[in-house]
Amino acid sequence: MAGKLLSDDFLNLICLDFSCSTAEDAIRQAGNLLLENQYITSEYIDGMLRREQDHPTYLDFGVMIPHGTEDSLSCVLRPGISIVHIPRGFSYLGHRVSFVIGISSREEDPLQELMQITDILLEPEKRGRLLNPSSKQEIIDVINENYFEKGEL
Amino acid sequence: MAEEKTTVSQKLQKFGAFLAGMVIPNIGAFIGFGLITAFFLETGWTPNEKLALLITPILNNLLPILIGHTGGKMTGGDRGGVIGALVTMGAIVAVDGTPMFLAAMILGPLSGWVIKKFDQAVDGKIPGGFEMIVNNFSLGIIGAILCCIAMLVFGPVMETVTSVLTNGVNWIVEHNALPLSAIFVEPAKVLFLNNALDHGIFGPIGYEQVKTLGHSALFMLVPNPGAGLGLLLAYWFFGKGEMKDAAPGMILIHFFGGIHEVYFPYVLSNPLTIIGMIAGGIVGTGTLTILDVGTVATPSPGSIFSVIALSPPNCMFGVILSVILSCIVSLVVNAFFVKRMVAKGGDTSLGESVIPKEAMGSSESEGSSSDTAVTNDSSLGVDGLDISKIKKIVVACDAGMGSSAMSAAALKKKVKAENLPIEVINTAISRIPDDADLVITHVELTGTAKAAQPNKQHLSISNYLKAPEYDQLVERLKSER
Repeated sequence: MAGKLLSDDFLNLICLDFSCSTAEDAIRQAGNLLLENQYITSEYIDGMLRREQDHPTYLDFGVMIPHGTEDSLSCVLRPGISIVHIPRGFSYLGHRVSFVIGISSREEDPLQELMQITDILLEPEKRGRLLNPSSKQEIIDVINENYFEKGEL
Repeated sequence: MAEEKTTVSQKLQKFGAFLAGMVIPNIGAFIGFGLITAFFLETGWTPNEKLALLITPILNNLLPILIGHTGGKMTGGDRGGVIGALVTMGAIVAVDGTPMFLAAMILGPLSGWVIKKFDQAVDGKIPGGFEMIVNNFSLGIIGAILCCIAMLVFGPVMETVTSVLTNGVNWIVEHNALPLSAIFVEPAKVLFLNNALDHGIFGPIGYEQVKTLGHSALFMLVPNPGAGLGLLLAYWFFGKGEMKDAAPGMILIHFFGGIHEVYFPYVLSNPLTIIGMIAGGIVGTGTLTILDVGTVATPSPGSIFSVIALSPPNCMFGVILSVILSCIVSLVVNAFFVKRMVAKGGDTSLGESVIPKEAMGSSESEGSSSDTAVTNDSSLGVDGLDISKIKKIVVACDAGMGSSAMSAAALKKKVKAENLPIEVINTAISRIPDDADLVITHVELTGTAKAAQPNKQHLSISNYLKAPEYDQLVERLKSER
């Protein structure tokens, strides 16, 4: 079985204990993490906000997955994700959002970590660990453990 | 959601695709019927009185029932198909001697829809062990009632339609405006009223003319294969995809075999081409009128061979010219519409266009109500699908990145857990591949997806990850194969 999916570098793409009251703040925060780590150029964040207006990216379980519009794809430098955890959550379109996954991706770049997260979200025990992490390392561990157990998804 | 709004032409196309969807799966039966007719009818190639007895029952009973069955299946699944066939029978018996295709196209989907609504209403309320008996009796009782209603309603309706058409034809003949008859002949034709027009209306008047003139142009109004040939050529030259590829074969069956039914779905799925058909019809009939030529009987089947065989020598040139001219006009005009359709990226598949629930207009307004991500309007979804042939499922969102990827992963997980041999992929709505058997989208995007892929099966989900539809779908996929 393959080794780790996420290295410790991913720690830089996680923000815990963030606090905000609007989706825009949360998206900007997720976008900034991607920007600081050279995944995107700054215009991509505007694309994420525009896209959110057209097509909200709220998923389920308090998770939203903001990503850019098609015309902002040229601002993607490499594929990846960032994670912002907002313990108190904010209200968005009738949902309480506490977990924001910023996605930097060109079209169908397969994002294995996203597939692993999907798998985790569908399993109640693991979901709890992912969505209420005690540390950044725990997020990485949950994802890597699932990858070790299930392999490529 | 600006993309949600469908234009009139999209609606028309949807409706046409819905009608065509009832015909296309049954084309083989039409060809079988056409072959029997072409060979054994008294004006056929090898007349045979005994085998010709097959013609009328197949035309009047079997073909409408098949269409009613397919129509019912499209709205109500297998049970819809059964009730659709049963109810169609009401219309068939109501009007003896006329193939009730149009009635079948109305009654089939309608009764399929009724049974589905009933099933939804009683879902979960039937005591265990009684499902079978309730299912059979409910279908039997509702079907019997609808069948009787169809019988009582369609008799007078068809009589009215026929008398209106007859009056119209008489008026046109009296006013020497015969070429203009194409304005209603061509649309009536593609709605499968061709045999009713031919044998019920034009035939009798035509024979009157033959007694005095020796020939009649009326016989040629419906069987003239020129306009249909022009349309198919337009698709062959300028079309795209499956419709283009199928065109040469269709030309053989239509022009030489005389089975016009094969081109009707082409018109139905791109309704504007009716303009080209009418133009071709006007020119064809105009040629006959100006040259004062015609045939001595109804060329049936409407192949070029029967047309030539039934043209008296002094009319031969004029009749053939009429076929050629109507073909050219239809080709030129339809080329425009076919190109336009291709340019707009219109759907070019002739495949089994199965449009579940939507075509009944039940949920046109979905997604327009609010901006929230949760709409629970998709509860009918899974039951309405024809899942027997599903091999590739596409989960689509507007860009094909995040939501659809995660949603597809969720469905894949369930499909894999059951070891089903089904491929699940995700794309943007604008890039849904041709070989997709089922398109899954969030309720807010289903309208857009349907506009992009009108001939595919669609399923709406209200949640990307914990979609209850996925469990239902996997359950059905598991139990029904």
